Amino acid sequence: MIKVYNLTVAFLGEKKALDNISFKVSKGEFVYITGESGAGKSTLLRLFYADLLPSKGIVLVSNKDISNITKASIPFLRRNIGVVFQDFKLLEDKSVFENIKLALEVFYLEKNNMENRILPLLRRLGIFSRRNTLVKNLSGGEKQRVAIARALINNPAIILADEPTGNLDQARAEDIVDLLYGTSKAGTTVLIATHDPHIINRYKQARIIELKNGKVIKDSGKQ
Amino acid sequence: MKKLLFLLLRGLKFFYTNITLNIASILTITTILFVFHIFLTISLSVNDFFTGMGNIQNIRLYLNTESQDEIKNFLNKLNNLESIESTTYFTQEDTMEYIRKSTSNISYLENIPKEFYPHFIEAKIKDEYRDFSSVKKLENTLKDFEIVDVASYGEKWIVNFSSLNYGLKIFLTILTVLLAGALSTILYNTIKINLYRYKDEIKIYSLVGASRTFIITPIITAVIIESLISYLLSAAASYLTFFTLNSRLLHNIDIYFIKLPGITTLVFILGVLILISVFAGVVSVKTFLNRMGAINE
Repeated sequence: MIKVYNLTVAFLGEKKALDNISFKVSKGEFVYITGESGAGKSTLLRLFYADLLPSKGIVLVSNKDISNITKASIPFLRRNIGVVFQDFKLLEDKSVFENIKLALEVFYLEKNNMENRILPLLRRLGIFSRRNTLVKNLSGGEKQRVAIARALINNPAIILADEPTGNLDQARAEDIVDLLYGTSKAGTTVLIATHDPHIINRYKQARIIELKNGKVIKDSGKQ
Repeated sequence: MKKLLFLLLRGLKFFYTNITLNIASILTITTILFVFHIFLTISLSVNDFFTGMGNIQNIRLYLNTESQDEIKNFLNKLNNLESIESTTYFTQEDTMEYIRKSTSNISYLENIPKEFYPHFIEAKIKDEYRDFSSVKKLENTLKDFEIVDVASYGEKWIVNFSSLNYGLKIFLTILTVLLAGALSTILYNTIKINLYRYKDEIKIYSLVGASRTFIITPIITAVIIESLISYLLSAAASYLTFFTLNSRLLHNIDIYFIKLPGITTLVFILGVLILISVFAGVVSVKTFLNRMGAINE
């Protein structure tokens, strides 16, 4: 699903954010990307949805080569990836329903069709009763559920979560990780960037890729 | 088709939700277009007036003989020329009567005897020979006749009218270019401001896989709506202004100078305006998207 070969990312005038790393992630895997702040976790995830391009090496996401991706084909790559952020990246003045609808509009779906897809997902994620509430009136945990709903609405092959529990208390954080873990059990590849040990220890069977100064220093999934 | 309709409706919504900012922009564009319409109407009217004034229909030949036989003989020759439609001979008496009739309020002309008035031939030129170069050629032919003292058709006036008309056209061209530049800048900046207000939304759309067409088309649609409204307002204001001026003032005093632009001219200007709007819109959105920065900065 994701293949990384000798990947290096260097920003102008700064030290390498990622330094010659290689690994593969299979379909349906649940992977933690861990490491201290500045280790390169977010940079790595940004590469997978082409928010950033590699300086060297090859990155294949669903067999699409990110190193040579054209601007025109980036949207098609992203339609197959759901992304969740620490700061949620939701539109505060829009309702829960409207925020999730954004992800369906790019497919030019009709309103009825959108409702048929959004409402069951909101029930599944436990935020159905909040569907018409403005996002600014939601708690942090609810906001993250909305963000996850937006990421899941198009049934993506990959979910990338960048510190998804960073703004949540312990109980809400565990809820969110449980949700993402459940998604991976349904066949979606899930990569979570986090440095929270409670979260990492919740699913001990999960693969852990640990980064330090842009290098992979531990990969529990490596044969 | 379904996709296009979806994007056009989004454009309409985008225009409506930004109506406060768009009204300010519409008023500015309307003012610019109104000024342009005023100058255009005046230019067209002046052009029409000069064209009418410069239209050479007759050439007047002053003669250096009073011999009626020679004059009769010359008239026959004139009538045989290809470019001459008809000729009329004005004796000194005819000239005197014509001048006295047309200047009835100038009493001292009554005291000037007929011997002081000129006699001349007025030759009417055929329609197809009324252009400046053909008239010039005819003038040279006529001057070759010994009997002709002076051949006159108001050349100086025509040259002056042509120069004035040419100058006016240059002025209108410069004005059009400057106004087009001003319009592009206003539209470019209005779109940019709108886009900055929607920066987060655009980033999210980009994150969930919106194509550039999906992002750009509604914005361009909104710009076209804005331009269209501005154009209709300015054209209506300009039309009303000149219509009122004509009907309430100028026509009452027998002045028919102002000529309103025809529908073809108006449609052409609208077409150019839409092109400018689309150009400014595309440049504005593309530069914004290129400088928008990463989704997760």
